[in-house]
Amino acid sequence: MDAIRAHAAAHLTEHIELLDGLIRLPSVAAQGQGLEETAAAVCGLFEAAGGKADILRLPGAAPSVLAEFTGRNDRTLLFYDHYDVQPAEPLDEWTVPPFQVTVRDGRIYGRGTSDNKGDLITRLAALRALHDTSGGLPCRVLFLVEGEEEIGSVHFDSYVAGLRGRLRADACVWEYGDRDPAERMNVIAGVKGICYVELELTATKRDLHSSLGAVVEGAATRLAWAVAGLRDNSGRILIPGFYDGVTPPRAEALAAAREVSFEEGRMQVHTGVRGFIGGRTGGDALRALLFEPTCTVCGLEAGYTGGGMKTVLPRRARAKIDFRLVPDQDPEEIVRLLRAHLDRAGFADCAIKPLGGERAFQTDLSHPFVRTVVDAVRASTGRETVLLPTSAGTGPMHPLGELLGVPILSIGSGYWGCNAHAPDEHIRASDFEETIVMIAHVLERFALES
Amino acid sequence: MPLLRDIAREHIDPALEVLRTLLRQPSVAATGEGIAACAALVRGAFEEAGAAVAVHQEGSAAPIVIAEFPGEGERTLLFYDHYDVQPADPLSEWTSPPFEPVVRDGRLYARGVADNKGDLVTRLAAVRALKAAHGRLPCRVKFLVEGEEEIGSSNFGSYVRAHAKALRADACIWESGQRDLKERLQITTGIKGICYLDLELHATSRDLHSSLGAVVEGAGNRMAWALASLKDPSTGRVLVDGFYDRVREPSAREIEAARKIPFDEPEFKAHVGVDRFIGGATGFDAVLRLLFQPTCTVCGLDSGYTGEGSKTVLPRRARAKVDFRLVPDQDPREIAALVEAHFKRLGIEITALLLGGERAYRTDLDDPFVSLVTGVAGEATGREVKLYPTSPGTGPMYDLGAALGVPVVSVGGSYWGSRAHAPDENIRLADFEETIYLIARVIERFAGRP
Repeated sequence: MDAIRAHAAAHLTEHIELLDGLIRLPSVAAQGQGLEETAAAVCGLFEAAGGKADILRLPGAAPSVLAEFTGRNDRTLLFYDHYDVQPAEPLDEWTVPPFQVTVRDGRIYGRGTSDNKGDLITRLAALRALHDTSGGLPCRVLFLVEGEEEIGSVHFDSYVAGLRGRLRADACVWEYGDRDPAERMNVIAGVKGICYVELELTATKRDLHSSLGAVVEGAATRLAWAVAGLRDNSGRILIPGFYDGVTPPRAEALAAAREVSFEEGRMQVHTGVRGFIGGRTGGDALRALLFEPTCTVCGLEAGYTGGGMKTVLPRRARAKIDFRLVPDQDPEEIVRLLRAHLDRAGFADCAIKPLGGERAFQTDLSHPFVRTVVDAVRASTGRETVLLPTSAGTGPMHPLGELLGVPILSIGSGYWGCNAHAPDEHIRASDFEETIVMIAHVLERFALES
Repeated sequence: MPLLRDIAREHIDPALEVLRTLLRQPSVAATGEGIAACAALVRGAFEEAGAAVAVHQEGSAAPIVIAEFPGEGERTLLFYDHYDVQPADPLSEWTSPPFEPVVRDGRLYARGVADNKGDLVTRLAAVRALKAAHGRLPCRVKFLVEGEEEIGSSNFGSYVRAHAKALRADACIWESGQRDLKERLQITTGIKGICYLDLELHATSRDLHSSLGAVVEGAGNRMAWALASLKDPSTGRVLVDGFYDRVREPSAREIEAARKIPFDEPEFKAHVGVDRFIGGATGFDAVLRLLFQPTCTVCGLDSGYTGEGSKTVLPRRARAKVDFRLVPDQDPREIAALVEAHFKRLGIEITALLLGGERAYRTDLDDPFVSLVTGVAGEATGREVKLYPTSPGTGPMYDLGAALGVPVVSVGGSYWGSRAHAPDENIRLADFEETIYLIARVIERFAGRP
């Protein structure tokens, strides 16, 4: 491990430069920009590291990249990553340019540094370190890198289905992982699902003078009613049937959750809130985060939003709504239930546009791979680990986990203050270096598993 | 009489030239764009017509233009107009650029042509025609033209009170009036008030990943609840405590006038594109609501991500613009305070900035000036005249009517399809011509001429 450590330290600047090369490609999936170039760049990085890489395509989809590295034995670890990023808006809240790396106070800033280009580079760097220090890889390694993670991995199912023969693996390491506010390393064994929809309500044929608001209801007020009726302020979602598909968490998952200490105060400082939804505290708040579905308004837009006043009755209003799902809720069923709910509530004029759906997935915590990874993380970083039965976030674990029937764990280079999806996204340079060593060590231990 | 009509006709082309010049000059009060330049153009137009002109500007307020035309005797008619316009967006919905006036099918299209630059020019043209016909005006005529009507005339009241002596008049003609769907001429003797609020809500100290929506409440959900709480969806009743306390019920005379107002409900609904009015009101109930009930309308809504596709963000901030139309004797400042108290009671921390506040005003329907204008309007246009005891719209009529103690009557040059405040705002050239003559006749009769 010392040789790996020395290698990671010696080549840190080089690897930050590699990351800068990726950050400079603004691969915003929501806006469809920069995806081809970034896929080509990722393919190039794999080839330069000695792998065999292909760009995969499906009609109307961002390309995916599949790479294979041979090793000293045939056991295969699959890495899942994505090269797309969230939009950088609101741009005026960044203190650095979003689409280039800025290193400041030991932090590496840029859109995608924490989610997920930084992790992709740490994994490549780990392969390089193993190669340079021991002349090759201890096991076979696959990478599957998609370009639509941030818009709900809309074609990932199809990509995975098409790769049936080529994706043989024994376990999978997922895209990310973070250090919690007490600097323990999170090892994450599942994800929530998602159902992301855009609601568009058209109330009138045209924008009207708002004085007509005495008799004509405008789109913005109607949308506020429709959205307000989706969830109450205790966190309970009010769509009939919404909870029908929920499978309660397994005993192992609940037991693992009890071991997680929830840093309530720090989280409140970080987010700037004084209390959590429904007055939840401690273990209740943590269980909500891990095991309860959500309904969150991500965007609202109607009428005049410029400076000063405009007295208009807007014809159209839009909302973007994010439902996080738990096992075994089905996003398509959620859309059907939402439609029925809006119709019943008198909002038949509110159109639903599904923008992404994924199912939740949780790895069986009794699988030996879980122990291997947790031990490797502790040994390589000296950090205490926290095994999270699931993340509060989402990713396309379900298609991969179901198809390959492999355990999936997520570990990576982030920390609690990364600002993922927000302005000034960053990672710490020391975590970046540490993660390279950690991933290399996971590969070494995994290769020894029988 | 034919003489005046012919002379008025000769003034149409030069009047259209003046109007085009005013329309080419954007004067958006909400943003301040072009306000000073437009005031200068208005001043020039009055001076060119032989008026004594004063332009008053205090602090950052938009300039107010006062023009006085000498005439026979002491009787003075005051015209109120405004040179500012609504913002032109959404720009993509205009058939031709909003600040490039163009004639199509006998209609002149441009932002501000119906509200209110077209009327200002018809009045100026009427004065010029009368001077050409008689050598001098049969009475004194004053113009008061402000530049903040579309943002609530916030400086107008104190201006009028400070200059009450210079503005002395015996009656006032208000800014506008339209031909209804059946081509009847509407004459209006009152106006609603307004309380226009900019609401801003901060839920967290930064934008967060929306997966935290299981425990952290975002600004989008909160704003939806806040707005939804303002009004009852089934009745349209405003749910803010104390909101109706100062509402003065309409007089028997006003209700009688309202009863004569034509209301083609199916046609109105088809034009607007709705099949139901607020609270299920129909027929005369809808008229009463439009004229005598206060309103609550969301004019704008903005939070989080509103671009293409999905962004999984928990937005830190949400903003809304809400327009309350008021009736006598509601006080806009008091309404703003009641709304703030309402949110406080709900436990929603929200700041409410009063962007525009005006009181409602109604002229006494028994004042002889009311019958003078309605009589002349019928004779001059051959149209059936419909008297509205109040408009559902707003203007600073209270500031002027109450301060000067004069009857105020609104009559003008627009029509049912003028699209004031909306894309493709327009007037018909035939109405423009008709209105010049109509205003000239009102001045003559007001001066006691046959």
